[in-house]
Amino acid sequence: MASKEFTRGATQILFRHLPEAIFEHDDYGLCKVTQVALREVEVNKDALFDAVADALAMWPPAFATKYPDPRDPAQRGHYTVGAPREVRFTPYPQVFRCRTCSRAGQFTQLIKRGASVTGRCVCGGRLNQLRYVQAHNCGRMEEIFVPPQACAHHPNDLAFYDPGRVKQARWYCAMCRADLQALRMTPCKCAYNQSLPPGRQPEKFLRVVPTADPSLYVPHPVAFINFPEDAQGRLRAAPDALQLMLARTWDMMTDKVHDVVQERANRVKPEDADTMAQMVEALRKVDPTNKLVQDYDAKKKQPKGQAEVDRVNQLLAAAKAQVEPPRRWLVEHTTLLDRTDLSTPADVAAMLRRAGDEAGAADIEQGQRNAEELLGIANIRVINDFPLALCAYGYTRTTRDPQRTVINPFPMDDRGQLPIYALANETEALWFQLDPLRVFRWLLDNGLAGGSPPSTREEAWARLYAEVPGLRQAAHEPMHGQTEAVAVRTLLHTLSHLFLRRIEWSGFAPSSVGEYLIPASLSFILYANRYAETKIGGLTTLFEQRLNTWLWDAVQSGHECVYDPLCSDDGGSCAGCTHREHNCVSFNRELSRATVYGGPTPQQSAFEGHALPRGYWHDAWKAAPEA
Amino acid sequence: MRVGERLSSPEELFWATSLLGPGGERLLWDALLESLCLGPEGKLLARPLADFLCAVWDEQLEAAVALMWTLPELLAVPGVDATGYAKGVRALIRGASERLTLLAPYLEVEGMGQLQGELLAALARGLSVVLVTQDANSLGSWASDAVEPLRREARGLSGSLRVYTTLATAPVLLHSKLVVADGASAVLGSANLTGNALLRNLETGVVVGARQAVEIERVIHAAIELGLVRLVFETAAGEQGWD
Repeated sequence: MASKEFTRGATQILFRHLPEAIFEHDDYGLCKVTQVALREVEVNKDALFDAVADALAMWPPAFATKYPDPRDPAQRGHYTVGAPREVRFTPYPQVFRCRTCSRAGQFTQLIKRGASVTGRCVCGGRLNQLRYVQAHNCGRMEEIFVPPQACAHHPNDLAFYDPGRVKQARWYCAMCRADLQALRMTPCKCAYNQSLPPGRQPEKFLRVVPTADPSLYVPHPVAFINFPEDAQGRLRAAPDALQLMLARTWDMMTDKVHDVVQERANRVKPEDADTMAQMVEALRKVDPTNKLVQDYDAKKKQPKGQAEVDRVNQLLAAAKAQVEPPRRWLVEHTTLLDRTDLSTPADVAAMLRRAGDEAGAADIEQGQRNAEELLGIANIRVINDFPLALCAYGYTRTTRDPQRTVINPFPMDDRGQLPIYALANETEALWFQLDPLRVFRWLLDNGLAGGSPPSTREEAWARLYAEVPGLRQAAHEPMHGQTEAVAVRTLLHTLSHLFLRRIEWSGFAPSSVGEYLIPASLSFILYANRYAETKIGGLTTLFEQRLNTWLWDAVQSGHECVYDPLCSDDGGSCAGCTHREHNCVSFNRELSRATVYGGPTPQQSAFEGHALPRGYWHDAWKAAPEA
Repeated sequence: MRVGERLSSPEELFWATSLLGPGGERLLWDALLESLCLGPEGKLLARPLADFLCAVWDEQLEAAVALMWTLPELLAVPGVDATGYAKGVRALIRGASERLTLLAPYLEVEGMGQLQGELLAALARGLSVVLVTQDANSLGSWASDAVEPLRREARGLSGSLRVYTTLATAPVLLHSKLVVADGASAVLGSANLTGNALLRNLETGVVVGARQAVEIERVIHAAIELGLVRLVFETAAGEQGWD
């Protein structure tokens, strides 16, 4: 209806102003959102629909029937995805009550009974919207039931007694004060009620709720990592995709895999090859030693990335690794390397030197050396544009609990599609990658792996790939529970939590930082859990200015737990040290300070009873400066 | 006896006595009639004759059918591989070159996890994989949970994965447990695709040959075509080109 300016942030719209929500407008009072116009947003549709499918799976099947199956690409046409652009709304509810005489009714009825259109009652008092509606667990919402008339003698003088409690609220006659009725308990015939046991129960009726009650409208947003959409399908189907992506992940190739794959694909395009070949052959006749001819011959002989493909094949063969199709983790790691804006300590040191901060540059270089030599971290990078997205796919009423509500999609748009409101943002993140040589040596030192130690990082990567397949398998696959794999995952996860313990250095609370683990590439990512368009820069500043301090602080504080020695004797993982209240991707499983500092491993873990003589930070702990 | 040759009486098969003993010609004549190997004019028909010979061959091999087992931990039997069932199914999937059909009423993450590596490799080889189960249309069901990791990893691979489910209202109970590769061989037995069935229960299965595999595929395809099961989703085959 109205066109008066009323602006809100996109995140606020996602939580408070989506269709069917009631909000208080600065000028128009209580209003209900009827529609939210969309604008295009760049989100990975597969990731989005996966996140929605995961979220919908929490509801019993009978409570989520209004959604076409988001797993089925053929059904996804029933949805439309976009960012909120414009909110349309209408005044709601339209039941009014006089502040002076308590006469109440639908606005149109009150007009018929003599009230003015400007909102004045027949008594001259001000008419206000009645701030109650009735709602049910199935998502149904209605204005409260207004009796058709007051008493027989004064049919136009219906009044409402509002003591602030539903049980005591009454309809009565404003003239003769005759009591008419209490608020009606409206029954509902819905899937939710059908799931309840037979008999009269309060939950089977619509509940009268104040319009400001947060339980009246509970939007359901879900967050996901928004990797670029085209990467997965194309990369995985490319020839030699596995070898190229491994070469990139193992630091053997600096070129972007996307570019290499594209160039290799173009090279074998027959039309290009024909044209190019004709030109070169023509040139060869005139000048066989021409550089262009020689380059062409060399390129044909050795396409881009071929040396790396051959090297990876050699390494895999030497390690007797089984070559298998590339999995998602590899695509994700490659995509982060290829498609995001990364800063390394060397970049920052150069930047600081340009700015004349020699001490700062030396400090971050020292931090990098410590990380590499003592902490076993091969790479620390800042991801300046870590892709994160948030989408709202529906709402419930009265509660958030999937077992007690029916999840409702937002109303269909004009084209009959169900809207999903999404916000794609880039946030800051820190990306750690452990040194494979150190990890392998750590496995050997603790008797978790056998054989001779690898001599180079490349060899260590290949050995890990061949000998610890559980690192790249999903839960429930046969090798996922392999002791070596569990140990490495536990190490990575614990390190992630230890760094988070001291993330306050960045200005972020630990609950505002999420983690993402890629065990097969020995990586973990800590990202700012923000969906606003702005970046605070806390993690970036931490990296640029306090990296060295933060690393040592993590080493020192990680060793301690208020529940020691009980905690360390029992595996070194409890609420006093490694457990996190929020944002842990695996619900505080696979954590143990023993992997980092040595000691007994947790009970009921895959390596239970296997005390680790040497922690991953054994050397770092000894070298750490006194706190 | 040649394909296309006309046979009018058992006497023309007198040579069979040297193989089957006295009365062998009558035995062979009756068998040929029963197997519909003789056409309207007594012509020996190629296809029914091939089927007949295969049947005779299978009968001879019947004793050599290999059993596969899942045995509980407490039941160790010398000479019997306690995880042979899962290994057999994995080997069958590994050997497939064109298409795979799996049918099991119950799926569960651990069971599907046992096959995930092989199924992904099959999809990467461009195979068409059909999985028929029940309850996969409910997002929160065990079957959906079990298929989800495979569906996500299958995206972008050159093969396609189609998952069918029985309808809640269907009058049939899907109860077979089958895995068919290329219509050439199949595993049939008692094990669902669950962790218990493939790792801990007492389950038995056998590998059968082309005749049975073709028949199993026909039955499953008929169930699909008749609408006894419905498609839940299909992963699109990965893009091969690079724009």
